[in-house]
Amino acid sequence: MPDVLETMFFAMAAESEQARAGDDALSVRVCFRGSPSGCFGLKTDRSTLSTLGAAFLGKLSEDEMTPAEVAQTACELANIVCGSVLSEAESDSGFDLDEPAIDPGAPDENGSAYSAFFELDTGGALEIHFRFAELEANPS
Amino acid sequence: MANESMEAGCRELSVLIVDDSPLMRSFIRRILTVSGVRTKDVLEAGDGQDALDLMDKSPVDLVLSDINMPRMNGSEMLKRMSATPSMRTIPVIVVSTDATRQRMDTMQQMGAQGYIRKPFQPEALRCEIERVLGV
Ligand SMILES: [Mg+2]
Repeated sequence: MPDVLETMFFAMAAESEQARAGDDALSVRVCFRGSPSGCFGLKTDRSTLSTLGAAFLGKLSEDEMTPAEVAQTACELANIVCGSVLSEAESDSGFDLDEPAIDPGAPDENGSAYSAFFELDTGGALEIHFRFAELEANPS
Repeated sequence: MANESMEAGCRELSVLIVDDSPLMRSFIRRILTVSGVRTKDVLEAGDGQDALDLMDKSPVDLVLSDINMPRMNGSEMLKRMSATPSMRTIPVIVVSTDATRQRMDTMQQMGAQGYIRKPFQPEALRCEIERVLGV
């Protein structure tokens, strides 16, 4: 997880048991199909997403970030983090990721098989959560 | 140096970026510029079908494509490109979070000439473009 932030979003993350995203945080759900299948949740403060998104897009200031870009940053971050973790866990087998979606009901620390919490040097916190389950076959 | 060889040895390229995330398309477009890849046009498509429609109208020199996309994913796009004489020879570099061996092999068998795993450093994109285009 930290290398994703460092490589593409130019932020450093340190794992911290106490770190939690605040009340205005955005949650994203990304479901995945493979072995195992399940859903991933990423929760981050909006202000943190503005900072990360501005760095990702090469904007001079986070004030230039539109609400749509903040949401897209959350989705892309979730997509990359989820894909990186699964690539390491399933180094041979391959998986499919659904389109990331902003979803307040995305997996959180209640009932997740795996959770991790990070503090960012840009300020704010980031949570990741994995739930494993058999999903219905992808309709597409 | 790699940067010089890219600029000296490579004509200006028409590049097509295929990704369902507008944010990722903007990121890749910016990385192409800052890493010194000389481009004539940078086109964008949000899924495989849009990409095929675009290539049908205006031929491109290189495609950088995501795999997971709604409507038509990257695998299906590669399959259709292989079946279309005017698109068969266009080099495709896959840009994906999926770095599993199976996926990389499958995409290669389907015709992808390069593969970049997200997250990636800007230099990694340029190096892979140089490798695939042989410059
Ligand atoms: Mg995608």
